[in-house]
Amino acid sequence: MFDFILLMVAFYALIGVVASGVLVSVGLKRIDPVLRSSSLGVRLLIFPGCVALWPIMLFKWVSVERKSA
Amino acid sequence: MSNAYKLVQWNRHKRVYDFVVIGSVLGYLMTFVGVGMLTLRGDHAVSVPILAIRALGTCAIVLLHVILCIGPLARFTARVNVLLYNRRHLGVAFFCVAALHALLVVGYYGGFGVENPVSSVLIGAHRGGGVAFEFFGFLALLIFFVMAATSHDFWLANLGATFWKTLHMGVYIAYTLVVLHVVFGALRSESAPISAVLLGIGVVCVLGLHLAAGIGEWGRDRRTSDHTRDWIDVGLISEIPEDRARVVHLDNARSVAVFRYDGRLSAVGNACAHQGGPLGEGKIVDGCITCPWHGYQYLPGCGQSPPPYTETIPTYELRIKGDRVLLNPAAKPAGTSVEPALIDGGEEDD
Repeated sequence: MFDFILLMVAFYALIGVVASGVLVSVGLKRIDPVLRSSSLGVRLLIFPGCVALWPIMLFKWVSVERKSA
Repeated sequence: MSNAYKLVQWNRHKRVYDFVVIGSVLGYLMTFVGVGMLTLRGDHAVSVPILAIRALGTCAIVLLHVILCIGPLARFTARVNVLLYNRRHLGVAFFCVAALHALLVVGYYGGFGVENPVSSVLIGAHRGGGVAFEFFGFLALLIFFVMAATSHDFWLANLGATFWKTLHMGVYIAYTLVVLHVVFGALRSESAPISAVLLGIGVVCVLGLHLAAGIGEWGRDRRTSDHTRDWIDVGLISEIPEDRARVVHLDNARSVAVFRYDGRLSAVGNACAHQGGPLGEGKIVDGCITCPWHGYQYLPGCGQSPPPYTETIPTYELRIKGDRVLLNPAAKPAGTSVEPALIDGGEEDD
């Protein structure tokens, strides 16, 4: 059971790193326009949170794109 | 306040705060390792890496207890506010210490074999049975990681205050896991009871303070439970200092700050739109209510931040009856203009 939990956490984190790369580059600025005038350091600081909460942030991004479409 | 996110909104208070925190942590770690090397000799000698692991672990536990006690203590005395205002810095510092402890454990106990170091530490040691106390620590660290990673204004703004706060309430689950981690881990190999006694004192302090603060809040809510539709007597005008506020507590944990300025009175919600800071503890600066936590400002007559900022807070009606101030507890929507009550020549009411 412990092996399985560790594996799941590792997969979640791996997907999170990839998703966060896209979010920090593109998606977050669409979700929160205030981020456009913020420094690169701020986006890097937000990166770990995106890794942890990437499903929520991806959902928000999709919602924003649907509303604007 | 700003219309762009900053890494850290530095001010003198934050710099002093961080200096004290970092200095204290480094001082603790060096003292722990130094005293350990001097006192544990011969048969009782402990290697430096293990001393460092213990130093980081105990430092993290002490920090966690301090962090958990700040909130309830602040309900009893304003002197703790100096620790409360930048508690997130303390939280992130705690996470760094805890993560370093975990890193050292994985590297030292699991890093020299053929198996994956993390698996080796979390699983390998307990394949033959026994409580996997390291797993409690691992789960706690995951929760602390999420909390530290979301300790920025961006997350508060985009997750919403309710969800963000709920996420950070996970500290209590993590605290329970940490206690289990210590009880089934370090305490099982300790022969002297001192560590168990200290942990017990810490747990009693955290639980006791939370209970006492909760009972105090419950009692306060009961005393203000009549504040529904009727106008509430705030008190004498003369009791409200110039450019400061009196705070009135209503139902459902709402509180209102009644500010006095330029011969008039205005009432706004007591929670700052930024991070819920206590506006009533702030003051009027340049004609604006200024939050004591991070300096966010609001015009007292409408609860709006001055342009180009867009934060808003609820406003309330006030009435003056003789020399007393009356408050309508029904909140106006955030950013609604309300005529200030004039102190001189205030209207008489029936």
